[in-house]
Order: sequence, then C-alpha cells, then structure tokens
Amino acid sequence: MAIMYALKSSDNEIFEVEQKVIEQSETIKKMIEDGAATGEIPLQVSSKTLAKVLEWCKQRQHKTVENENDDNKGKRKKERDEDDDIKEWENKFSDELKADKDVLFDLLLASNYLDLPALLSFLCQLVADMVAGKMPEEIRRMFNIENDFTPEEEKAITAEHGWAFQP
Amino acid sequence: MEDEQNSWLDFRQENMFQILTPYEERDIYDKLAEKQRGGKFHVTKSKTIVGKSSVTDLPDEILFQILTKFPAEDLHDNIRFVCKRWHKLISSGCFISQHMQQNKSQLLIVTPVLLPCENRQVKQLEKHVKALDFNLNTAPIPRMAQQILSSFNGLILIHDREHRRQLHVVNLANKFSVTLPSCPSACEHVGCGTAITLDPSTSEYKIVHMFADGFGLEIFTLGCPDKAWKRIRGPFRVPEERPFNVEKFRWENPVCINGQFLHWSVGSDEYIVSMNISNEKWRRIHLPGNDRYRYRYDLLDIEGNLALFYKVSNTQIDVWVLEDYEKQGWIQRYSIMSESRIHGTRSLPEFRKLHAVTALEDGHLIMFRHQRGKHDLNDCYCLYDIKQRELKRSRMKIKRKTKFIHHKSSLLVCSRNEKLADKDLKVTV
Repeated sequence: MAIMYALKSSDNEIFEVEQKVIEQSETIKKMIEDGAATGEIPLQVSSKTLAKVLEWCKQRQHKTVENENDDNKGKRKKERDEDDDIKEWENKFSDELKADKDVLFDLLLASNYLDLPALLSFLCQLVADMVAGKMPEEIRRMFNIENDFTPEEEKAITAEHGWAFQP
Repeated sequence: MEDEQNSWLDFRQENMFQILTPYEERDIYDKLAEKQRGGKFHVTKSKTIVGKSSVTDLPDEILFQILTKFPAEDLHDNIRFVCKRWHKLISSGCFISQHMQQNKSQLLIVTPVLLPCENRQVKQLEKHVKALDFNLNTAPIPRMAQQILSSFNGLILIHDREHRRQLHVVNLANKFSVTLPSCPSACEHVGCGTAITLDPSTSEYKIVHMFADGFGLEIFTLGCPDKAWKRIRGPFRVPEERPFNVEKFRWENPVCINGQFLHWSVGSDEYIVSMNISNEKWRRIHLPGNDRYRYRYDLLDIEGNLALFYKVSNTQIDVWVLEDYEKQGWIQRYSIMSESRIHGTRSLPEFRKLHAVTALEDGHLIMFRHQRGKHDLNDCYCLYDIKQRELKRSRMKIKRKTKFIHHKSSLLVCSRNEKLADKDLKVTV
C-alpha cells in the first residue's frame, strides 16, 4: 500500500499524491524527512500550477518504475517505444505551456521552489526554443519586456565587438 | 538615475574582456553554488506563486539557466540586446564559463574544393541518422572558417590565405579576433602542426606551432606584453635521436587533450612525444603493449582522454587509453574484433587500412577512414558503435584530405590589447 500525502495549494485545494511521486521534489522530501509533513503540506503554489507539476512528476515516476521491472530481453526495443511515448507526451505538455505563457512562468518558479531540477531544465529549454532566432524587438514584445537601453548604450554594445577585419 | 547609468557602464567596462580558465571557473562555480544554496528558496519563498507571472518575475538563477540554453551566436546577435538585465547576465564571466561547459561541441567537416586552389568547404555535422548517415547542417558558417587549423573553447585558429605567413585567432560567435605576428620560422603554414592550448596555471591561451623540430617549438601567448613568439627547443637533443626520416616526415597538428596536453606521433614504434603546456617540457610516452608492429596506431582525443588505436592485425584493433600523463599509465579499454558485424557491404575492411579520425556522440561512436586506391576521389568511412559493438559503413561521400575539427561555440574573448593593430592586414576570402 503506497503512502499518500496531501498537498495543499495556496488557494486551499487539496491534492492526494503518492509519496514516491512527490519525493522527486527535494523540498518536499526534506519536509517529510524533517517530520514537518504531518497532515496537509501547505505549498505556496496555486492549484493550477500544482496540477501541472504533479502531471510532470507522475509521468516521470511512471517511467522509472517501468524501467525497474524490465528484464534485459527486448529492453532495447521497449526503450525505443518508450522514448517515442515520452517525446509525444513532452510535446503535448510543452504545446500547452507555449499557449499559456503565464502558467509557464509560474511553473518555472514552482519548479525552482520545489527543487525539481529536471522540470526546471526542461522548462528553460522550452523558453529558449520559443525565443531562439528571434530579433530583440520580437522577444521584448513576446514577454512584455521594456527596452531600457538608450540609443547610445545600444550603439556602445554593438561596438563591443565586430570584425576587426572584413570577413 | 545617473548613478545607475554609471554603475552599469562600469560593469560593462569590467566585464568586457576577460580570459577564463578552469581554475577561475571553479572559483566562480563555488560562488554560484553557494549563492544558490543560500538564496535559492529565499527568492521564491517570500512570494506566493499565484499566477500571471512574467519573465521579469523570474529570479536571476532561473533566467541565468534559460540563457545558457541559447547558442552563442544568438546570444551575441539578439538576446543581449533585449534589456540591461539580460545583457548584464550574459556579459558576466560566470555566465560565459557555464555556457561554455553546457554547450556540446559540433564537428566541423572541412573539405577541400579543387578550384580555386586550396579553397575549402565547411559543413557542420549535426547528428547521425540511424548511425549510418549524417545530416549536414547547411546553416551558413562564416567563410573564414575555411582556413581553420585548430579550435578550442570557441576560439579558432585560421590561416590567412592572402598573407600566407599570418595566423588569426577568431571567435566566430562574437566576432572577436586577433592577428598574430608572423612566426620566427617564417612558415607559410602548409605541412606544419598547430594548436590552440590553455595553460591552466596562468590562465593564458597559447598558440603552439611546430614547423621543424630542428627549429624548435614556437609558442605565442595571447595577451603577452611583448607580442612576440617564443621559441623552445624541439623534443630531440641531437639529430640522431630522431626516429623518422627528416626528408619525408611532416609535423602534423598534435592531439590536444583538454587544451593542456599535446601529443605527437613521430613515426616511432617505441614512443610518442608529448608536452604539458603548463611547464613547456617535452617528454616521451612509451607505447603500450609489446608487439612488433607497434607503429601501426592512431591517436585520438576521446572525451578528454588520449586514446590509442593499435591495429594488431587485419582482424583486430586494440584501444588503449592514457590514464595518467605523469606515470605513463595506459589501460586497455576494449578491442574491436572482426566478428563485429558490418552493414552495407559484403566484405569486412582490412583493419590495417582503417584510420581512426574522430570520436562522436560523447565518444561512443568512432569514425574510421578506410584507405582506398589512390585514384578514388572520395574516401570511405566506417563508424564503430562501442555499445552495440558494430562496425558500419557510412554512406557519406567525403572527399580526400577532409579534416574533422571539434568546435564548441562560446562567448569567450581575450585581452583587449590584442585587437588588430595594423589595419593593412586584412583577411580576404
């Protein structure tokens, strides 16, 4: 019988989760080890974001359990199929996040707060992929960033390097 | 407001030019790790994540991580112009070194083109498809990469085609460049050996050049005040010591391990000659094993270790790795035997005709050139997968005299004083 824990989001929603799933978060694992986690574990994360975090953790957990049960025979083929499945799942997961940027940044903050390095790295790559190859003006518009450079400063950075000779 | 402006400019001044070494990097890492340990949760814990966050709400640590995922070219051309905060992060030495560590190296394929003379095409190897063939990335690589001789930490050494005695050190991503004075040997850089190295004890990047051992090894230190090549004696004290025929032997680019240890094969069946760039001292490293045909070997850098591919017979290649430079400790890692299956051909290539040219996929895939008749324009290549223990013939058509150079793009820059002084010296391509 798996041990269950109750997580409470910042808007007071309760999530019942298996210990193994939630122990991926170093922050929560520590809370459990310290014995601070009796009853509900209150988290500074909204229910919408927490649901996403748990979706990620469950997928990860699923993957590791299956790998443990495998014997070597046919493992390679299975791995390949699994890789495809995971890719597909990750694509769906990232497409949803791309459509809703607010959730994306909440999730980034949450993965940092809950200490989930794999999720954090995945999300960082996702943001980078969204921005890659775009002009500065496009990026600013995309994320509502204010251009705080004066034209002189911008010129100064451009001049920092440039070919000393004609390539 | 003015203060803020000034401090920002000061920051830029301080961080514009710097040379980073593994030692400095470690120092910076420790600081970063400490900061993360101490402050990581503090940043977000103080604030409830309630939704509608934007990129400006992200703490520096997360933004830092996101920015390290970009290619150096993109960071230099676009990303650093977004806002001051991003620019400040990208310009920091800590960022430059972390970015360099995270980025994987790419393989540049430098193929000769017959006309015009000595012209070379550069293609970038992106990934292998089913281990048999390659996707060639056709993204434009600056044409000056055509004359690439060596690459390390994003800096490449190129040969000036017009002024044939001239060498330049260039970073293709941020367009940093330095022109080196002509070598004392007045070498025109055809049939000589060069490499970019890093001396971890002084944090200096050094260019080594070997034209003839009688003349000695020439070393140029980037950022040195006298801007002159230094000459140290060759590996042999007297001409009679040379294991090779001086008329026929040409020094090639050394196999450079971690930018610090240089290894040359000198046609000897007993030893190779090596140098630690930190103390600039020669030493002989004895070849492993006791067989008669020990001269039949190739040297390769596999993930920061010197590997020796010893062709025991036509059906066996032993792979040795140098574990300890000082103690000369070799260890045999594995053997490639001819029962390894081969695809795409009926017959196995004779192993003696295979030359290990480069390692791919974190050292799990070894690329061999299969020597064929002199009249073939293309060389044939085989790939050996270490995990699957399979030797496969590649379908790639690669011209003769093609060079493979591992290149990692970075935002590294060196001393400001090294900027081109003489405007008349231009590289024309």
